[in-house]
Amino acid sequence: MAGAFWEKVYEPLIRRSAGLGRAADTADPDHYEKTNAFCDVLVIGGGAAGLSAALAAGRAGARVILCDEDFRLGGRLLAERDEIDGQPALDWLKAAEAELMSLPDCRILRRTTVFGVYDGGTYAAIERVNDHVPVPPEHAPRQRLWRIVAKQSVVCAGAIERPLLFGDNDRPGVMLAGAVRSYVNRYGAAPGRHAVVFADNDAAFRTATDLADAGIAVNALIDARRDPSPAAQAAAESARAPYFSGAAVTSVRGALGIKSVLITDMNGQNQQFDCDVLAMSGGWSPTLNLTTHLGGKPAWDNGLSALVPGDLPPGMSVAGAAAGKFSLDACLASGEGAGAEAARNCGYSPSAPARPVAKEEAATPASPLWQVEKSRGKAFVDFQNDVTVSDVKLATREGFRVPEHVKRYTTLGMATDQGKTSNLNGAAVIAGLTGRYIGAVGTTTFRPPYTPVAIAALVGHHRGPDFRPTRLTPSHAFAKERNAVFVEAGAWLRALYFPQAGEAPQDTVNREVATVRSKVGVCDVSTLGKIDVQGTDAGTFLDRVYANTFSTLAVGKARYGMMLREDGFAMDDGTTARLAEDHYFMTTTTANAVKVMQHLEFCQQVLWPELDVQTVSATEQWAQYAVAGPKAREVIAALLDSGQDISNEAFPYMAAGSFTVCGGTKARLYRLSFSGELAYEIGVPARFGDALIRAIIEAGAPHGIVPYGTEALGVMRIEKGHAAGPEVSGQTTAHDLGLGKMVSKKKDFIGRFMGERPALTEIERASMVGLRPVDKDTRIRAGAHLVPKDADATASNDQAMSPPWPTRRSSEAGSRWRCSPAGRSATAK
Amino acid sequence: MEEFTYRGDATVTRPESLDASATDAWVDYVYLRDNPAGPHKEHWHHSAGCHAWLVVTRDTRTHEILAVEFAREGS
Amino acid sequence: MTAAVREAYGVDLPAKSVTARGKSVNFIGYGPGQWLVVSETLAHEALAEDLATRLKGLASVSDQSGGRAVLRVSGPRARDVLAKGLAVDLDPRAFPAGGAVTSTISHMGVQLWQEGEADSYDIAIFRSVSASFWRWLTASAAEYGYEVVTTS
Repeated sequence: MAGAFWEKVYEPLIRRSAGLGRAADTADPDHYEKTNAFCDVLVIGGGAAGLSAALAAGRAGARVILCDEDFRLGGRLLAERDEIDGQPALDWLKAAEAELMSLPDCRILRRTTVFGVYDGGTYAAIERVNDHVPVPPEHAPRQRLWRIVAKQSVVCAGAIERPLLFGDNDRPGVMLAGAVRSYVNRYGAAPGRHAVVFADNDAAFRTATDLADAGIAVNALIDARRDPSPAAQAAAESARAPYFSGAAVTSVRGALGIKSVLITDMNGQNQQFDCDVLAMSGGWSPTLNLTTHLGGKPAWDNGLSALVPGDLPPGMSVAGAAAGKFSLDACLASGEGAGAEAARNCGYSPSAPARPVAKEEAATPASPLWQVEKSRGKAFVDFQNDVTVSDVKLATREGFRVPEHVKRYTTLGMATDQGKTSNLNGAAVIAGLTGRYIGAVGTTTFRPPYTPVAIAALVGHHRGPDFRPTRLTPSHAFAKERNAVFVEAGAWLRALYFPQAGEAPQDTVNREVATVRSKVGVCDVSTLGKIDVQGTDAGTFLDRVYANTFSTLAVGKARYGMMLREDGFAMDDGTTARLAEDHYFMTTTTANAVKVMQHLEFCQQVLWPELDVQTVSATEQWAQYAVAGPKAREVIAALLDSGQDISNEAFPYMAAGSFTVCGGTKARLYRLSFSGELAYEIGVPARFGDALIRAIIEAGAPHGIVPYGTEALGVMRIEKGHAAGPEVSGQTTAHDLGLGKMVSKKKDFIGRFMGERPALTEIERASMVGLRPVDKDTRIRAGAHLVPKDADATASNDQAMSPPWPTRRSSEAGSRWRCSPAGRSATAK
Repeated sequence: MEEFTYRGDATVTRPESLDASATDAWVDYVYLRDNPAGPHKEHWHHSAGCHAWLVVTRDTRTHEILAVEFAREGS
Repeated sequence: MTAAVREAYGVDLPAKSVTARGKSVNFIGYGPGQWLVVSETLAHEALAEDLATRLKGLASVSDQSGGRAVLRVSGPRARDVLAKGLAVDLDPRAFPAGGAVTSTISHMGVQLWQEGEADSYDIAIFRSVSASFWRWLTASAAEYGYEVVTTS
């Protein structure tokens, strides 16, 4: 009862309050796509540094792509009240953007985050094309994945502000100072009516000035640094608010929204200040994630109290705040420099125009306050995963001292933001607790993606029926008209069987098999791999790749061939015909067509480049149909133009030749059988494939012809004892398959030497056998156990491979089964 | 890169002898591979392109491609 | 063989992945010692037979005319459409006029070459995947709008 109560009441309640949401159970209705782009210089980030870099590279003539994750270029310029060249920075921004858009080879991707760096200057980016509209316009993607190949890249990804760690720092109204300035300066929105600013760096105290100028009361400026900062004091003056150095917020009042904060000054005195917004800043961490994706380690900069990029991937440079250059002037200068250098590395000659200048403010060095001691309440380190300072303390008490371990114990930095705001604070807490300095503690490894990416975007076009390309056979339209049931065979869609109205699948297959046996049937075998082998050494070449001999094959004849791997196991089989002295036409199994082609090319180019032999795939060129059954000859003869003889004498078993059919169409005819009946395979250029199947059906109509699918084909090849995919499994040898006699002893060929190893030829190896059911009405299912006829169905009578029982089949019989089960029968139980 | 198919060590040579004494050479050729940290010659097939087998010299520590030549010419 | 081709078709066999247009045929280099030959006048087997006769003993000729479909994608957004599946830089700076490449588009093998207008690309695809290719092509071009023109 208690369990049910938990499941029905408490758990849903907890889940709701935790805001875990619900997974969608319908398909994503939106369209996503992928695309490729190439450039000389990829600039990642469109703030002051990125714009400068893109301008420098673009002006030099380089092909530039500039990506920015915001919907507007400008980065922090949009949120600050800076000046460039004595004018509002927004004016410079406007001019810079206009100039970039006027450059012929500069592509600007807004709402686009570069999230991964890969080998060879490859970058992945996600463009949120239409995330901001309720329904994307028709034919437009919601998101687009970019694969960008760049000769050079300039990372101007900026920096991310760190929260301060004090009790109840997660209460609504506690915000990063940079966010407060964005509300006020960029959006003209008041985040509150009266504010307190708590920070350890000068930049954050500009918040007080900006708030006051916007008409929002500032009640106090709390500076964690011991020595008063002139810049912060000036900000306090402009905001007409008291300034405390060496102080900290130690407590926050108000549950649903803050009402006041309690500060402790440098003398240990407490004071309370009313406020509904607390702007906090623990300094900025360079966004260096992309610099580490190929294994580079960030370095600790003691002066900056920040991790800065270490070894960079080839072709990458870093500028602006991402490189630890936090002032606007340094951003402009380093961006310009890096952009010009990148262009130069691509072979362009950038000129050096007067670069824009921003006033450099005299700043008091930041002195990070990593943690407010003696603070009550939960001090959150990871706001997304709810990891607090006390959680980290517990982890260190348990002996986890390395960030990688603490991360896994506490889940610090494991939320979707991957520790963007929490990693360094976490490392600092660990450092404090373990008595080390932060640089020695290190950080966790940043891996792609930098930002969460929808799987749908990675998939793009390839979903549903477009999951992968589908290969259709030449007779596909015909088979569809005949209501064929299709089966996927690799990328191919093949007709499995052709049901008639009211027919059960097994009945269909039985009917198709019975018709082929008694009359005639036609099956599309175009999916077989077909390889044109030409050259004066073609015969020699085939002798070396097949276990049996082909150089002795007469022109106009075909032969079954077995190919081994170099380790002696069977690789593939098929029929190869000799069309001319120096021209063979090879077929492979459908499944191995690509593999065999690659193997032949290896043999030809790497092993025996001295041979005059050329190979090319002709799989797509030929539509090929098997026409099988006692009436096959009549059907083929009806297709042939007059005056061509395919009598048994003129065109015997295993003959191959060129004919014309249906009034002059060139066709190749092979008398081969996969199904054990009188059979031909007829090939025409694929564009005649549809016409030919219809012609065959028409010619066969008087004889009761049926189209048959791969299921019937499978039944007949099993009855015939032909090995196919399930048997040529990579674990069987030619001997195992009953084809040992084919293997030549007279020549070297791929697999010859290793195939003769004792373990591959020993008598105890499993081998392919045929089964003749005792009870023809019972199906032998896969996995059935075989026991000798009339024997009890006990484990000791089981004929399967198993650990030795007292009586084993070999010791018992004194001989082993080879391929022929004649004289023995088995029954399935 | 889906355009290429990787095969592996390009420094091994197929033995010519079929004599029993060549067993070690064949086992070496078929099964045994060095795994060097540093530049390594490997066979790559340009499957989706010109179908050429290439000898690619790659630094196994950094994946840097140091040289590429056609296997046919290199042999 | 170069001499035989020049004699027969009045064009120098390209040594690189580029197209070379001769009398009635277009040679497209796609790998060392391999060329795809396309013709708008010698139909189907006639081309292979012509080549086999003229280059007898010099080259192996394999008819592929039934196994490929050739389409032309042209227009100011042609490169944007192709970029959605082709990881090859078609910018004129990287892919000069007459360039050719063998690669994949959306996991389907293609041979692509450029001749004539700058924003026009000919693409040979395998017959069996032509329906899949068409789905990719129309989906990728839909954003910009497209027109289908058939030639005889």
